[in-house]
Amino acid sequence: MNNSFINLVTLQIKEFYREPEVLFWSVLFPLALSAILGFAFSQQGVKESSVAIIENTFTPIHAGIARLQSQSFDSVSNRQITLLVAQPEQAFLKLKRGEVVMVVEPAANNNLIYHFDPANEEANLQYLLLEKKLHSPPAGASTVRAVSTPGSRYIDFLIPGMIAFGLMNSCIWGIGWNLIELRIKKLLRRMVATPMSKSEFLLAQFTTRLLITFFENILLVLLAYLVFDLQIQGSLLNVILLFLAGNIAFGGIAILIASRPERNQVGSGIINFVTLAMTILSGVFFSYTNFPEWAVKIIRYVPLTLLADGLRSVFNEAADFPQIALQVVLLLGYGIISFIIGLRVFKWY
Amino acid sequence: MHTSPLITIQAITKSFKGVKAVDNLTLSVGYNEYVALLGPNGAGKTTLVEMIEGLQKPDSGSITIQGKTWQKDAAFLRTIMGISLQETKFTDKMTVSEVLDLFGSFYKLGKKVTRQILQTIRLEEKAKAYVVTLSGGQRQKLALGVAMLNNPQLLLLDEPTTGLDPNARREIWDILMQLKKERGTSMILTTHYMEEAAYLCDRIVIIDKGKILADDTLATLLTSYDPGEVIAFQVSSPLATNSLYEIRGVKDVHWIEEGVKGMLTVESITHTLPVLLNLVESSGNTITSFESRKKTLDDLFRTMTGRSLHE
Ligand SMILES: Nc1ncnc2c1ncn2[C@@H]1O[C@H](COP(=O)(O)OP(=O)(O)OP(=O)(O)O)[C@@H](O)[C@H]1O
Ligand SMILES: [Mg+2]
Repeated sequence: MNNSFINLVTLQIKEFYREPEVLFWSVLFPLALSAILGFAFSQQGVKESSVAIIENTFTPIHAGIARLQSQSFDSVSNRQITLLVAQPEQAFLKLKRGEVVMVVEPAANNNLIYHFDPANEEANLQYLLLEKKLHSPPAGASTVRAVSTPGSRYIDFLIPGMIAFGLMNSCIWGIGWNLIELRIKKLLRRMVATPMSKSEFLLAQFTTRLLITFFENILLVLLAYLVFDLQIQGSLLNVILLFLAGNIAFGGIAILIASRPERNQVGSGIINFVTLAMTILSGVFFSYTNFPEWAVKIIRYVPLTLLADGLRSVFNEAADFPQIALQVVLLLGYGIISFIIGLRVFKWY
Repeated sequence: MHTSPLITIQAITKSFKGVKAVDNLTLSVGYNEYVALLGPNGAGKTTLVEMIEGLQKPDSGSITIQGKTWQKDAAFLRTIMGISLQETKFTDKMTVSEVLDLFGSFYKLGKKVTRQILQTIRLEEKAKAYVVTLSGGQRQKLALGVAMLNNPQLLLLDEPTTGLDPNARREIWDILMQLKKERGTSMILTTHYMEEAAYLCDRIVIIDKGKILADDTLATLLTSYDPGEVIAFQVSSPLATNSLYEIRGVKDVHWIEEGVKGMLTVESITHTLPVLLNLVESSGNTITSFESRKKTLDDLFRTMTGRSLHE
């Protein structure tokens, strides 16, 4: 049997492991980077000094809180404590996302319950400061509830981002660069001079990437599970759905990028620009909420952000399908539209 | 029998930024005919061939192959041609048999066929070698193998033997001659080698600046366009051009170095040579080097354009 689709896919995969450098950069490098960043920041939550206060029947009548809200500037440590009043569900979600370091729950008789991860230094510090401020009379008892928060550690933030980042790089370099190289070598025009089906050829590119990224990410998640005890809180099906949508998005973008360039430098320039811009903006390594608000509104819809946010919400917040539906649809949209435009302007010879 | 030619090219023109690469060119190629395109660098050979291959579009004019055109019957035309481009590089880390299998699968051919081609191009012992490890000649053979996979009605080969040693070239010639005899293939071949054109092709088309200068069999080209033979010589002190033209049978004098190094086109060497020797010696001059031969295509090209094919 000699099937062209199978040949196209297997030959590319063979090429992949016949070039050790390629294997290193696309598989080992992201793994190593994740491990290093993971270790470097594993004791630290995402740096935020916000604290959420649960809004319940006791909130308005809690003396300490009322006082604190009127003067939240802490002169001792020069630290601004931002207090966010929120519904319980919201408050705990923010804790998981790392947007707040602690949740304070007012209770009857001026009592307080602190929810935070004792492993988080920043949270500990905030607890001590707050306790000092709130514990002046008339004060009730304070209780600390340790929230072990897998899902709010830096590694939990990092890994879904790394998956998205790796997927983007693998697709855009893998498909985009491959196509540009085939064009430069004049192999593309040699191939389209045969009865080869162009759509089958592109589909083979996409399929190859899907297999390769699947393999890469299984390794990454496995490593994170073994070393950092990473848990996927949501359903695996949703992870796979986002993974597929991401592949389609970046595969389409790769084909658009690769549709014209005929020279090495132009090709790698465009690819570098697109991947670097997305990497910087999209908050793969650090939260993008530090950008100005108008920028954040745009950044949210950058493909890499969509994928990273979607994956994070499934990994750390057990998001269901309705909560990721928008991201999935937008990713598919990016992919399909780029693919259609790319195909229109594609330079086969 | 076929009443019309396999390829009919009607007045095609193709320009790149104002430069006419192919200029109002008309040509036809018959069934089982081998045609060579001969011309200096930049003559427009590749451009012409790639238009026939459907890889470039003519600005004007028409190309029909078996009565079909690229606009209407691209899918069919792709199945009947075998092509080898001037500069294709196959993927480095693919083996020879993988390349053949891949291209074979585009034509829906089984591995039996691809293995047979491997034999035809005599690369069996390189079947498992990566393309990157092949010599130049082996790569050219592989490219030829890929071109032959689909048992094409029409072969279009752009400089298939450039840079090869005489042995490797000879091997490729043998394969091509076998195809012509056994399969009734037609071929358009571009080349810079006159021997290649002479050995392989029924017709030789000389092109320059996008135009056809001559189109005929080798024998006819050499006899009817500008018949004669050539005497190339070098002398120790300068000769006057006039004195040479006065010798009977001298048709053309071409100086490579004014007065001392030149080429004479003559009707017959045997008639002219004694007179020339006499002229030189009687004036106390001496001949330092000397060669006489039949006219070649290069001489022909020189008389047509004043330049050499290899400039
Ligand atoms: N893509 C292109 N863009 C601009 N000019 C081109 C292009 N392709 C060919 N040309 C020009 O057209 C002319 C003919 O080129 P072509 O490649 O057909 O020559 P050729 O006869 O094949 O030469 P060679 O023997 O060197 O291969 C040249 O002047 C070349 O510079
Ligand atoms: Mg050429």
